[in-house]
Amino acid sequence: MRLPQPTTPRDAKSSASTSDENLIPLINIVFLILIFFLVAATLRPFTAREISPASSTSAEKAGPLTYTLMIEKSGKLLYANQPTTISELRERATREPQKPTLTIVADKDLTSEILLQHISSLNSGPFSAIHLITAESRP
Amino acid sequence: MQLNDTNTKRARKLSLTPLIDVVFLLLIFFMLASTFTTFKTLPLAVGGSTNAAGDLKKIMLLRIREAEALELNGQVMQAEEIRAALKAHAETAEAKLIIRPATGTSVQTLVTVMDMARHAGITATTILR
Repeated sequence: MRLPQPTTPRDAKSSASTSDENLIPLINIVFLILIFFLVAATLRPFTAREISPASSTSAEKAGPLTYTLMIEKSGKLLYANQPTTISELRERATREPQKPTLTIVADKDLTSEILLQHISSLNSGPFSAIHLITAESRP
Repeated sequence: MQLNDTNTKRARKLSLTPLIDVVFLLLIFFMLASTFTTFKTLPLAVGGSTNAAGDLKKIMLLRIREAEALELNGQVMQAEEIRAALKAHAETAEAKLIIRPATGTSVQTLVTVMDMARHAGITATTILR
């Protein structure tokens, strides 16, 4: 009968290199997940995570978002993550050489009166068009 | 003269730990900053008192009442009837639709009603407040 040879204790250097080698499958998986996110997902066009836009079945493809006004469920206005007012936004837009397009990100549970009130005060103002961001849903 | 003593110097192995750190950071960034939802835009036109002029026969008024009941030209109708009426209205030249939401109507309800009009083929939609 032949018994297996007793294993010799490894020195510190070789155990360090094997622990690094053990990490290679982990890196493979993490790289795969990273590539999946890079390919399948898109970056959010706006930063406020707590605002969920209304879903629409007929909306058009979004163009470049230059002016994005966010309206929270409570009616609070945000521009570039900072609280703002309509008059501030007007002032900012009038300084532009060309009339910009305004994109509004409004929460789906916001009452439409607040949204319409803001839009009507901006309608004949410094913006060439006003668009509302919606999340795509299949009809 | 010996410039490179390759036999005595052993090639040092690169440590993988900083690489994993950076890859994990990138992964967490993309997981937080990205979304799988496709965002699109709806053009909005809110009417004041100036752009209400025009042939009244070409204009339909759709009111959103409380509890999402819909009223087309003064008649309370079901969603299916309204869809059919809007489709018929869209065939007339320069068909216009005015949507008037009641107080307390949510943005989602307004967008759903605008979807109905757009699917029927009416593009000139004005929202009254």
